[in-house]
Amino acid sequence: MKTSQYEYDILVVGAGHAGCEAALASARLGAKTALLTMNCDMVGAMSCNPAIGGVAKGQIVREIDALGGEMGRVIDETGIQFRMLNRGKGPAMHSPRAQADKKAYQFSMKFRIEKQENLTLKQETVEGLIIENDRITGIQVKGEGVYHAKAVILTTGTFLKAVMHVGEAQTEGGRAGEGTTRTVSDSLTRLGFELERFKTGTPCRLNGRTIDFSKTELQPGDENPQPFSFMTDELTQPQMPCYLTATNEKVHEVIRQNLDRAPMYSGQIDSTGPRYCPSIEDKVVRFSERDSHQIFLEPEGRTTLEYYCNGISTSLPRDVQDQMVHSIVGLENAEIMRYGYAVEYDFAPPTQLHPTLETKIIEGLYFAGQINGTTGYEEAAGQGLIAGVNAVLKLKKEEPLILDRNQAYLGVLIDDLVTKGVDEPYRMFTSRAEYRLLLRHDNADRRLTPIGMRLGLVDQERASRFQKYEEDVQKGYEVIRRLRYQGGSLEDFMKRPEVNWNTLSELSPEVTRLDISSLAKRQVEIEVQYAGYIRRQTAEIAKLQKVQSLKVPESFDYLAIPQLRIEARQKLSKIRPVNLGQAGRVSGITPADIAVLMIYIKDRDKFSPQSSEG
Amino acid sequence: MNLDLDDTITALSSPPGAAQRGIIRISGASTFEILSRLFEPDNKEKWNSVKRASQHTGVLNLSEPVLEIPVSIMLWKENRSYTGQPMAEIQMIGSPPLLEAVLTTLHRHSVRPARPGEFTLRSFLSGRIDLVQAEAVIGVIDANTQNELKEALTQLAGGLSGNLIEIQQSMIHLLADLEAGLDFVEEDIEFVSQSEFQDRLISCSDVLKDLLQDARNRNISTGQQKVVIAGLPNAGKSSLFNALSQNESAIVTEQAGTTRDYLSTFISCHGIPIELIDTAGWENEEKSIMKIAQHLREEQIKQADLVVWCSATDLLSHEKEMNLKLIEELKKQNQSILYIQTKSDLASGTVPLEFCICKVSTKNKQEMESLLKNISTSLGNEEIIHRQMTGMTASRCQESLEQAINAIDQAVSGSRNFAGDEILAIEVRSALDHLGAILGSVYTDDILDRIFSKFCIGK
Repeated sequence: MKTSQYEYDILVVGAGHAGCEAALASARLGAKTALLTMNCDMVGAMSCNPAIGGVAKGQIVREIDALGGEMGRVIDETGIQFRMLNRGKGPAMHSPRAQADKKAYQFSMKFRIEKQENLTLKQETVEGLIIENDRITGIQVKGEGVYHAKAVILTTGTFLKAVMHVGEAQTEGGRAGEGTTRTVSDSLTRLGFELERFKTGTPCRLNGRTIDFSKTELQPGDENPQPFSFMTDELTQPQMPCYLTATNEKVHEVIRQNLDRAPMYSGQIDSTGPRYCPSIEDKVVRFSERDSHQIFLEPEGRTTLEYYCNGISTSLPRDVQDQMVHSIVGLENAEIMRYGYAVEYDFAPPTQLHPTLETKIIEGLYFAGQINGTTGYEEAAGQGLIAGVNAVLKLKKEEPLILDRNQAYLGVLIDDLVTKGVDEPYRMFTSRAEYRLLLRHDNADRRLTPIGMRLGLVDQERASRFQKYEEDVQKGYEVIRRLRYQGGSLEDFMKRPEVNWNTLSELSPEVTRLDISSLAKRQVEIEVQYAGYIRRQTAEIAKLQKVQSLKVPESFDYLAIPQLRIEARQKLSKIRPVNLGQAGRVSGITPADIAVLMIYIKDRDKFSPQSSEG
Repeated sequence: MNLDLDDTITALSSPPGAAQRGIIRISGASTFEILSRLFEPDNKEKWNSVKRASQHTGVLNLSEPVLEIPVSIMLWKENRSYTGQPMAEIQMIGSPPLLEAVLTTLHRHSVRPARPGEFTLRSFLSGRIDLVQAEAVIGVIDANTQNELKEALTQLAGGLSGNLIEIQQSMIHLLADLEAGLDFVEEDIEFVSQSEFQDRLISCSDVLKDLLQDARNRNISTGQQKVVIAGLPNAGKSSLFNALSQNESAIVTEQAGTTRDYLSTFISCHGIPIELIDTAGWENEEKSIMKIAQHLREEQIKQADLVVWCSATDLLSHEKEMNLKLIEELKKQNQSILYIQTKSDLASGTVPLEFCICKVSTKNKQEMESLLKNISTSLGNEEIIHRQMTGMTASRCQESLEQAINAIDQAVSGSRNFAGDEILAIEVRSALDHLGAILGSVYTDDILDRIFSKFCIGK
């Protein structure tokens, strides 16, 4: 049989949230890109909860959007309930979240991919990677096909050697009803990659016709829903509510009675799962003093009655799941459409990656998403976008895109992954960001769209809209800095928490006449109210920038430095940080180690961090 | 990570032991600006105008205690210094308490205590010294840093170092509670109230303030050796103390908190800076052996680097017995002890005490000289160098404690003024960072661990 040959610049394997953003970014930067998926009907599938965003995750979606990514626009189009979380806290904590119509989301994403120039969507199952001299040159697919390319981005999610557990029953597959791939794991191991296993889980889904919603608490969306995307003017679609119920002692008793049949407790699963997303059996065991845990019943779409039971992820056997659900108020007669399950899968510890997400041992090979030990659609999509961009930049021989920790949650995410690695599935929290006040959802565009414009990720429409917005912000500042009130500027006056643009309008007709967008007004308000802290954090960053800017040569030999402690030598040669800032964040590295490195690196590069001796 | 090359830093740089003249070094961008605020030069015009390296005499105004001292400052206003940055050397009388007062004043004006080797590092980075020289210095520092920190911590907090760790723990818990409220708003968990938040912070801050006060009282930061003169009543301690303090480099200061029972003075003994402590104050109390033995177990004695035990030549036989019992008591504390026979001028006819290393009469110059020599030998030179390095570490630790207290106070006042939790978290984090400089860093993972073990997270 003749082997079919295909030529591309960049291949993306897997069309989940990471793969879609990777492929779109790559194509938008002009690379001839192919997106390969085992099943074209599952593009952009939401394997677990039907929601996008949340605290810290919502900020990531905003960042993806600011860089011209697709996630924000798709959820704005297909969302069925929008809420701004943490509204009671300061603006830095405000986090958008939305329930999605799962199927609509998938189709919208697929449609956008189909429409994208330079991008080809292909249904293929990958068999192996083609490597020549530690460099990837293509991949082999099932059915005698070979794809040649200069770079390959693997976004295989939970599909590597995936095993699903429902009680004692085990099935191969990365998502209910779907398959798995063994050959990719084996290829990776042969190439010298280390692989480890994680576990995650998902709850059962119910038929809404059989739920007694009158016994549950209604949780509506926001009255004035705010879109994720800078490009969405307003959200006009009707919103659907979620419903709140809870477990009780009876449910807990059912679980305790059957713990010996729970794969997490019987020893059937021994890989690590996320602590922030424990199964209901875990909650009952670890927090035995609680007599109730809340459950959110979330609709999976407008054209389905399927409901997702957020809060009771489980891998208990089917009969126990039935018993458990029927003991819950409002769910006494509920029918389970899909049982909850746990899934174990291979991931590649991300310390094997450069901050560009290219692997250290195989040139041109990139990993993004759950294969790196993360969880979450948003975390995956963000990595996909960055990997896509960097793969193209490398082909173009341009400087890579490495976002700093003070620039974006995406910077925090990738720096954490490649510097510290993961010991449980990694999810973003705002507490992971040192400069939380700077990384707000409201300023994501101002932080990142200029970068998107420079790289060519952002289309003309967004660029001009952004420029107008930025001008509005500057106009706003100009006015409040110029006009005086009570012996100070209006800007000073605005620092008081109770003062906003409306207050200022009453004071000055010029403010009333000021014609700038409400988004720009809000931006100025927030920046002014946080000004003191923003200045302080900016000063801290400037201090660190010096060390951060000291690059470590790629071939630097830590083992050859006698002054470094042995522990430091070993850790640093494993992580191979790109600069001294990153080196300092490697666990167990002391300031003394950094001082030693400064001396050696300085000597190598003849690089002076000081502007001394003019 | 505090390795910012632009920070203005300071450290004592005169060689350990040389008490005749002390040198304090300052390096960094704001050297001139800060010194201009503190220093009144005899020739103001020269101070302001001369750009090249130059020497200036004048008066330095200290803030704590408020004091004016004559100094001479070598100033490199621009960059042609050892570190390649603006730099200055304050040359002054080598009295440890004065040196410390100068350092404290500089710290008040945001001059940061230098990390070990930081001057060398800057010097290397600016091309002033070569790799080999830099390596030699950094190598030593790297080996010493960890031990030193440990030792400084013991000194700093004495038996209270456990408290410091406890405070760090409770701050971690507090931050975790705060962060849980920020990151897991949708969860069904109880968040910490503002009044509870304030109470918990204030109790942390109170303990830290006590520790800091305690550390200052110990006067540890200049690294002088503590020598305690002890013995039975009428053993001639006070005469000895007075005779020794007539040494010309002595500056008598009273130490807060210890004045009731102790007299102390600073002397230079064969080039070693010494804090000499007289226990004569005990004698105003009841003279029972029990009481004296109890005194021997006090902090002041425990912290001594050397106890000079005075046994009078004219001891009566029951006193001899008492003397031996007290010596046994002292030995239990693993103290380094120098036994001397006092009032040797009364020795006519009595048998010399065989366990005493030397005879001393305050009237005999030669014997006094030999006593000083014995003290300096007992203290040992190597120990002193080590002590002084530890002293510098301890001064950095005190600085960190102060910063931590400031941050906590900021958090409390922020909370009282209804600042958001995201703002309070910045202050609590900052306090933890400063404590981390003493106890080892706290990472986000520590906070998350705490959150996940305390709260049932998982919507």
